[in-house]
Amino acid sequence: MTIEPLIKSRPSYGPVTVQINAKLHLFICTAEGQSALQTLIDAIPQTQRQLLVFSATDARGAVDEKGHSLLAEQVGAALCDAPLATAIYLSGPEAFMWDLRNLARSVGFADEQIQMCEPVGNARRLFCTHCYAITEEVSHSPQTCSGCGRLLLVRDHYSKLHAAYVGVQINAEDPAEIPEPEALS
Amino acid sequence: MRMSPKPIQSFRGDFTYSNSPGAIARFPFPFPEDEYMYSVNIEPHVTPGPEGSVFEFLFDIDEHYLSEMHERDLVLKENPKRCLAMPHMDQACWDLIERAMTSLSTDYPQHFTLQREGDSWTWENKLLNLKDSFTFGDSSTLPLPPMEYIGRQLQGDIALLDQRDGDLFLDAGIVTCPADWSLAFDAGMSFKEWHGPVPMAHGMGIFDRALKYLCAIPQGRPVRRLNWTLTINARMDTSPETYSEWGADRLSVTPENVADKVHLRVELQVLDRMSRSNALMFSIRTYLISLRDLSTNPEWAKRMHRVMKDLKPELIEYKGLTRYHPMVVEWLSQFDPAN
Amino acid sequence: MTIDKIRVRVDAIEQVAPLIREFQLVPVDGELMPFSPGSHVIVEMPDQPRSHRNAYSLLSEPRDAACYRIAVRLQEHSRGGSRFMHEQVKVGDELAITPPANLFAPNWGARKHLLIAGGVGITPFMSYLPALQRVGAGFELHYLFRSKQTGAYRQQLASELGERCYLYDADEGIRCDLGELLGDQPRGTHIYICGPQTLIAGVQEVAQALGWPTSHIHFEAFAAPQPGYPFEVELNSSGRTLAVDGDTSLLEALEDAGIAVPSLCRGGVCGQCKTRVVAGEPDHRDQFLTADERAEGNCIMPCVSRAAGKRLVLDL
Repeated sequence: MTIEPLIKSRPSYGPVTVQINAKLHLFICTAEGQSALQTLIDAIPQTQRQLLVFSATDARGAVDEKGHSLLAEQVGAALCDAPLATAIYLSGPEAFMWDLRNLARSVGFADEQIQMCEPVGNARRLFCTHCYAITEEVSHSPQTCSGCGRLLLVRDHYSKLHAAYVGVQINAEDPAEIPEPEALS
Repeated sequence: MRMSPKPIQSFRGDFTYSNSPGAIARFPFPFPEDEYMYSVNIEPHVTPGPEGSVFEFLFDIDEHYLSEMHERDLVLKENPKRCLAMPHMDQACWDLIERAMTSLSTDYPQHFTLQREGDSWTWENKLLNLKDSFTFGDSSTLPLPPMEYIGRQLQGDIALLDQRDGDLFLDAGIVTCPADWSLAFDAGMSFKEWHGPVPMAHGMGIFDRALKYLCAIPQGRPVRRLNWTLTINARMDTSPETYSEWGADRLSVTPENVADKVHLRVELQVLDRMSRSNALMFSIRTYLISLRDLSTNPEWAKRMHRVMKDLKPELIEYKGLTRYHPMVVEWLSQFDPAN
Repeated sequence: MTIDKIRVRVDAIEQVAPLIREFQLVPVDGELMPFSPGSHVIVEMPDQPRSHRNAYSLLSEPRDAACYRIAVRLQEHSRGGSRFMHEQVKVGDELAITPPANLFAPNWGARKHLLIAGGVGITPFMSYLPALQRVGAGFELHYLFRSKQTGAYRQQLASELGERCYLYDADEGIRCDLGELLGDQPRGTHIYICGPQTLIAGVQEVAQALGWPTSHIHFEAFAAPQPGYPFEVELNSSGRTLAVDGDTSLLEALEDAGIAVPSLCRGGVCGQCKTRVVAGEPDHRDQFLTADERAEGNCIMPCVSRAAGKRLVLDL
């Protein structure tokens, strides 16, 4: 297995702060993610805030390829009704937050209007570089691809568009090599 | 000497690819010094450059043209997603068509001709036996989407970078002979994001400086740089997509075959501002030469030995040379007795 | 082909506002290139005792490679460039221009484009408008001017754009209420401002108070170099010393002495001409260097910045 140098495309998550000039504060999270936002939620007058909380099951694959999930519909409605000066605060699993960020951008929000908490859990969405299949909730590397079955090294190289890390076959040079899975951070 | 395209050779399977003495003579050897360090090393791509050199024109057409276009066809048939263009890049694709067709028909009139009457264009590519009439800017009048249409007629990979918010975004391209990067995964990334995996360079501020420089490239003043790696066999498509097919090649190197198996892979990267879209064209023209052919030039062989011997471990790892690097150094040492 | 300079001939000159003249430039040989909306060129003016080089937006249809049009406002405190264009340049004269470069391109992902022009700041939008109309983009033009000085093209714009064109003539007492304008825009709108620094700062301030995302606000200032006190500059490599007079920018003085310094905007914005300072204190007038870089005091943007004292030593 190779030791990865620090890869700069991996997102970093800074502290989330209130955007004071926003007219609406939109909090979107999973139940597990709400505690990270609670102090901020409490700091905003009720008339200026909106809170959407999803169960972990709803949050999975928050936006499917056709954008048809229940979650996407609910969030989509809230985003489309939001004024230009809206601040969005996200908390939950990493892929859930980036799906919502992509949805918000598609309806005209700018990146600086969207803040994300430290992701809940270490689960990663994985994009197989060989067959382009997505494998959800990956916690160890290497991971078997849900599409082609290859054993994938989970790299830190991250695509915001796919909201996923890239996976590359770990033993292509020597298929006899089957390394022990290691937990991802 | 100018290169005429020769019959199709293969970059896979039986690997019949070979360089003629003329192609060896014009090979863009990338090491100006005995030690290699990652750097921006960008310089103006002033054309016409030296006659017959790979720097003579904006797009270099050489003896491998037919072979590379054939290889590109094989890759795209296997995986059409190796070419993509986001909807907002349509204008940039047409800019590329204009830049490519005007350059090629001016620089290689024996192979390419372009007739323009307003927006009615007729393009003839005699090497590929193509003759198409279309309305400039109207993608429905081309036999293929604009990126794929022109990409299938140019040697080397092409990316079109959208410039916005002081950054460059990888929003279109045709990438069938990359040095281990995936257009499908990197699509939409910013300049720093798609360079994320490059070791060491980030802390040096190289990318900040390069980005500012690239964003300010005006029309008519392209720039270029050379990049390099090593490839086992004359394989053009060393993409992550097909890594399962070529990864094991690295185990096949032996002291007996190292000179013929290991190729120096040099990318001539050219950045050129597109007219109407303000996009930046990033062309990556790949040249392959076996160590044996390279060693026919004693100066190159000696310098190659010094560069390989002193290569930093991070770069050996990043470029995927770990398994066979010692054999390369050992074989090259015969040309550099003093070291 | 590599293009450094394009020779053009002045094909027509038109007074388009009391203080603004439009120049139609046609190529002396060959064709011009199409350009992207918001592009500018640097015009080289062969004045005596020294030449000037000023940046002007292209205001012609971007797809038209037959002719470029620029508009020049006569500046009260002109260092000579705009006065030369107004008083010396005649139809038939030849000038040299650079190929187009763009530091103010539209963001094609915008859901609506809100164009705010002040005076001669209408020029880059003249090339935006055909492109926006071609793709069917949503847009509004808000044009602030003083009809006794500027206001070029306003009748033409009003008739072509209809209700998408809003005119504010300060000389008629008509003002633009920025709060009202910015307060009522749909999400995904991008603002583009070209005009005097006061207009840009005004829009930015209102936008910030209204909670606009800063990445949706784009601007291009008239950042022509302003005159200052004369000083001397020494070149570290050769020890050579040049005199920079009050009406000459440091960059122009270097160029006049045959020293090539890369440049693009010539207005302290793009960062191309950044040069290391070995000794002496710079008078920073650019918008490029960060506060930290200014504090370190070891670099300067010679296109607009000068010496705070009598002498600078540059690493050239």
